[in-house]
Amino acid sequence: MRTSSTRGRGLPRRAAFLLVTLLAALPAAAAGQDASVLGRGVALGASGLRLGGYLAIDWEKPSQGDATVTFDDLSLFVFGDLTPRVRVFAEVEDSKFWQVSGGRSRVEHHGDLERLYVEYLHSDVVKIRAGKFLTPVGTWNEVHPDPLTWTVNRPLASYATFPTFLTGLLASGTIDRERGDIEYDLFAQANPCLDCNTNDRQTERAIGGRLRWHATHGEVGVPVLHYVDRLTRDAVTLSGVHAVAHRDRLDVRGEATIGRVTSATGDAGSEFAWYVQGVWALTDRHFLVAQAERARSARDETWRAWTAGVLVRPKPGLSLKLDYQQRRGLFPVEEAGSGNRVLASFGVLF
Amino acid sequence: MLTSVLLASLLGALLAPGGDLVLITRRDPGENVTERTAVRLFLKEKLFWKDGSRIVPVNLPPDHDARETFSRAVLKRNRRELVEFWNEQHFKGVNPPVVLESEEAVKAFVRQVDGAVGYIRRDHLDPDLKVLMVIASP
Repeated sequence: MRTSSTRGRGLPRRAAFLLVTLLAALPAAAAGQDASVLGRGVALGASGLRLGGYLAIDWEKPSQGDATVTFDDLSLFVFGDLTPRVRVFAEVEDSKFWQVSGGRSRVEHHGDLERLYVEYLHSDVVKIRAGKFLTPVGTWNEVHPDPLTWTVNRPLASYATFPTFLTGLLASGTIDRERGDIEYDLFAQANPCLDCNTNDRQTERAIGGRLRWHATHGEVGVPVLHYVDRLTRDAVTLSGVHAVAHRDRLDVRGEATIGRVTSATGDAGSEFAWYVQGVWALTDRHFLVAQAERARSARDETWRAWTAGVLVRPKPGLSLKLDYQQRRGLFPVEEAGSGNRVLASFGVLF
Repeated sequence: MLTSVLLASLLGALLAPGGDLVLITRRDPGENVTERTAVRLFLKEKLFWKDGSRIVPVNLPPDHDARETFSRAVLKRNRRELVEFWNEQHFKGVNPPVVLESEEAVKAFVRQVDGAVGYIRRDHLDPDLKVLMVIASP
């Protein structure tokens, strides 16, 4: 990780110029290309590997306080099949690397290793992955980039109660059924994490799994997970459920987790988080979004939020969002503040 | 005899819907391919044939009539839903099927590549190709 910091009044103009230039140039560039170009990456010669990534820029204006522009994510990933049975994936990301607020700017690079794994595809029923991967809990965590999600903010239920990345082993597979597939994931970690800072909840010991049924127009999943928090030494046993249903213009989805938290001193409590989200496609490019979420920590802090927003996808791989969010209460993660705010973002998947 | 065969062929051709598709491979994979299987093949959810060989699905271009029929009749997803699906798969490290320009190219690819599977209109079918499934135009 390399870190540098710059403060001054010259950068906000440059940031605004860069933002406007990006906003103007990327859709224009995409417009001259086939719709399949953005969001498909580029081939790395004849290696069989592809390079992809995404960029997200957020704007936030709380009801009290200055607006903040954040160059939130610049992610690059390389992936491909080395042989018919061996697949590799590597992703690095620089998050929140440039913030501009109240006439001041801050540059702070966080070069994070998000994913690094090799996967052996024994069959459709047995695939073994080793390395650092996204924890298979819910749906949002495994597909979290801004250009692929419906709201600017990420619901707490998708990350705040479990380690979002694990460094260990994952076995997964699909059992083919005519009325929808049944998929399983079994995972374990019993070693230090690779680049632990990518997790709000860091762990070196975890075990769990998820059972998922999915068909053409929806899916339901049930995860279970036990882990020990590396920093607090809390032992957490978590279970949950997620559901997705989409038909024609409507997409409804939700996730819930509930965890039993036992501290190193033996005190026990429970925590939960859930969200429900509805998306209505006005056209193939314009969407209305509504979301409700709630969380309670093991220390009985409660938090809830309502979000209403619009999303425009001018081209596949590009997204422009504008959300209004009401938040009340407290939960021990950075995003769970109080007060109303307006959020906007620009995202591009490439 | 010859007359009755010709009449039967003519009658069959007249009754067969013109837009029907056929799912084709080079050789029999040794398993029953249902509509659900076809979905899993072309969304890359099913990666291996029963004999352990890797499946290589091939698509036609997005604006090709046969592809639109296939997406509607088998995948049951519109173009927006498929773009969203493949964008998510891209983030997970999975590429969409190879796209070939024409049905002739699909047939040539299927003949040459072990495990390849494609779809073409039924009236473009050649006798050396194995038909896994007939897809009626909706």
